[in-house]
Amino acid sequence: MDDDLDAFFAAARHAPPRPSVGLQRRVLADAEMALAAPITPPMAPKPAVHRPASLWARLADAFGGGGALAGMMTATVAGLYIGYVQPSEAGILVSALGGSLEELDLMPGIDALLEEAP
Amino acid sequence: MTMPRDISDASALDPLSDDALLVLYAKGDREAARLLSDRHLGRVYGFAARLLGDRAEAEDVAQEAMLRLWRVAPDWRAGEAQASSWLYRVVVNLCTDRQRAARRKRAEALDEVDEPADTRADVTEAMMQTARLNALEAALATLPDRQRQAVVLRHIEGLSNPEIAVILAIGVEAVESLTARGKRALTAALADQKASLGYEIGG
Repeated sequence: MDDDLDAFFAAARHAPPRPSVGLQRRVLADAEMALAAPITPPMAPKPAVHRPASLWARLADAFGGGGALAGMMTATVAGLYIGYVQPSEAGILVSALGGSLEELDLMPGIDALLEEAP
Repeated sequence: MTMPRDISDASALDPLSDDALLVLYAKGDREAARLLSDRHLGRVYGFAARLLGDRAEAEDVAQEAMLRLWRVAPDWRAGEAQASSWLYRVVVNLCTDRQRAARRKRAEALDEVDEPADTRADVTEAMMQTARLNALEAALATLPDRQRQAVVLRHIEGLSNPEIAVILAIGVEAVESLTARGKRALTAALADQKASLGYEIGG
């Protein structure tokens, strides 16, 4: 069977179709055009990556943004400091702030609020 | 003033590999494009013509395949694929697309295939060759797409089965099966034409 077909394949190999001069010119014109106006393949849109918001981002959103949260953090640190230091050191802090410390009531009662107005 | 490379030292590019020429072309070297076209256009066009059996369509496919080569040049990865194999693969895909689109018109297309020339009696060898070509072209047109692609790549383009496997994106065994079935179908189709050709198939 192979021998039967060989004569046909040989004929085909012996006479390959030749590109026309016009085709050759068009191909080279395309090469020129592609150089002049390169077409970069469109970038595939990046898949949307859903990342859960960080704890910090969620806290910031809850309290009105990062700036507000930073202010609250400062106040918290200051409160902790005042709560833990000795009263004498608190006095230093208060005097440094321009005031005076006669009495430091760290656990103020609510008696004043419960008293009826006269 | 510097002379453009495509005028000054065109012959210097001849020994360069396709990979190197593609790099030069991507940098704007027109002579590299001409050399790449010289090396590949004939093969690309001839392959498309064998698959499609239509010279005008084959020209369109060849032009499109070469255009894709020009456009891929800036991103060409040297050593990853041979330009010739890459182009064969592009032609296979383009031809497959066209043949699928035209499948509903297949009946009319087959009617338009030229009848083999009458080469009875005192045919010269040249006429015999032409008759064989016409007969083969008509017989190839009767094969399923994949069989035709495998047979043409193996027996006309002269590629190895592993090379064909890469181009068609199938296994080597599948290539062997396609070519074997394709050749059986070709033999049958050519046998039908034997009487009108006036010579034995092996003649």
